[in-house]
Amino acid sequence: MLLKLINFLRGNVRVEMKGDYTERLINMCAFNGIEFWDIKRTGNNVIEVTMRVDGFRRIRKYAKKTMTRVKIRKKAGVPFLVHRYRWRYALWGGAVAAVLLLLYLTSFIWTIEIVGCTYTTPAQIMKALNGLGLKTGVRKNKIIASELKNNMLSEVDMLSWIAINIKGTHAEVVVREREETPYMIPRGEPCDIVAEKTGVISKMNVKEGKALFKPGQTVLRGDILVTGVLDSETAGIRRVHSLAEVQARTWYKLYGRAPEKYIRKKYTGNKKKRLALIFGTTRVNLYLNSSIPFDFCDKMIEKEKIIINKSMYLPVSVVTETYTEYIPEKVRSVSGQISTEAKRTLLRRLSRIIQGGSVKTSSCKVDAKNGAVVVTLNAECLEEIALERGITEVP
Amino acid sequence: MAKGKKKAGLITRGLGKVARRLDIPVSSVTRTARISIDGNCHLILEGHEGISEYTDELIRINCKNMVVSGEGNGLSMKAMNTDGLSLTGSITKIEFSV
Repeated sequence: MLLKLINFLRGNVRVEMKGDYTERLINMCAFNGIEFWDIKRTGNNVIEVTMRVDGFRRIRKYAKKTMTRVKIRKKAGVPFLVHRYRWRYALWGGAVAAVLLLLYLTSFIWTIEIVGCTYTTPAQIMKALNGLGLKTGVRKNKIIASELKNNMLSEVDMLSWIAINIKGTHAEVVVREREETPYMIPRGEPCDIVAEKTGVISKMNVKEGKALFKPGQTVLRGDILVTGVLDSETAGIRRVHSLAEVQARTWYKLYGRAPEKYIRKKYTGNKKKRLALIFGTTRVNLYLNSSIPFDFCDKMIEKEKIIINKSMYLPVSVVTETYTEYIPEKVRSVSGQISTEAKRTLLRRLSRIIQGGSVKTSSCKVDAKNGAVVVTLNAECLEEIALERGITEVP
Repeated sequence: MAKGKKKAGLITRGLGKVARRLDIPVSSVTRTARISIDGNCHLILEGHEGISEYTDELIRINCKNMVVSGEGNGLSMKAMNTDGLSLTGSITKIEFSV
């Protein structure tokens, strides 16, 4: 493939050799460094070969020696195309203008992509970037990435790290945000361990401090499980930083509600597509009637940027709007289906609440109430309930 | 002239013997032909001294001390240069005339 492309760029000719000593001519070419390929006998004393233009110029000498007539059958390649179109000034002018235009357009930033936002929004980052000079349509050489990075870090407090990668006409801004550290009582400061949730203690491992409860006992939220105030006859009262792992069984009751009847979309199969082009910020619709084609329909908008060679983004996007028609149908909820779906959703909500704990048993109940389906999830969980708190009282 | 040819032949034969004793390919020390063939459709011959006949059904290649003939259907030479040549087509017979 690559060899074919090189041959096309360099130009090659298909040569017909006619004579009684064609084999001798071929031998002479081979031993005198004339490159040729695709050797084919086409007649009794006719052989066709493909060779480069400079090879054809050199072959004449040997053709004379071997009394062989050589004739060009076909010319192919860029040098011949250039020669054929040499008087078409408009064509050459157009090609040069296109290359210059492409070079000029590639010296701008056409797209900005922001990656890595969790607590901040891309719009917030984009606003700050625009304020500091990085926006669509700005010249690439006006952007000094290191300066912009420092300014961005001081502009947006939430950011801890930022990278600006300019690939062709595309700017990729990668951000990492500061994570808020949870409040922790310093190691040397005395504290108690209190129950974060109500439950029955199943396991207790006290490393520092004095336990006030035993496994199997019920605790309410806020109860002091391990106290940091130690009293002894010899040393008197002393305060320590309590350390303990307390695991407890906890119970949860979660509710979910769904309407008894809901609207289901029945697709008719009718679809309509519309195309539009966006040049920078200007939209050009490639259709006349702009009203919505169906009474009930889903609208899907796909925006595709025109990219050349992965990194060269052009300032043109193609927008495809697809309208899919449907008929709304009122459907009664199926109890079993709702139950499994609701249980899954409620368990997901529960796993967010217990954070790292595990669900031991769970059951789901479905009831119909005032035209709605109420799903109740009862679950027994096992989780860590120890929470550090400053010393408030002496037991 | 004949004396010189005889001397060269002796040297080649001697080198060949040494190469065989050392278990290395003879073609790497003497300029004898080396043929590699993929099935019966592609043949590469290195160390030739030119072709003497070439048609769709027969090709005769001169090599040092012998002539290699290839017979078949639709034979076509893909490329040829000083070192070797590449032949494609349906090869039915290869013959060595020493």
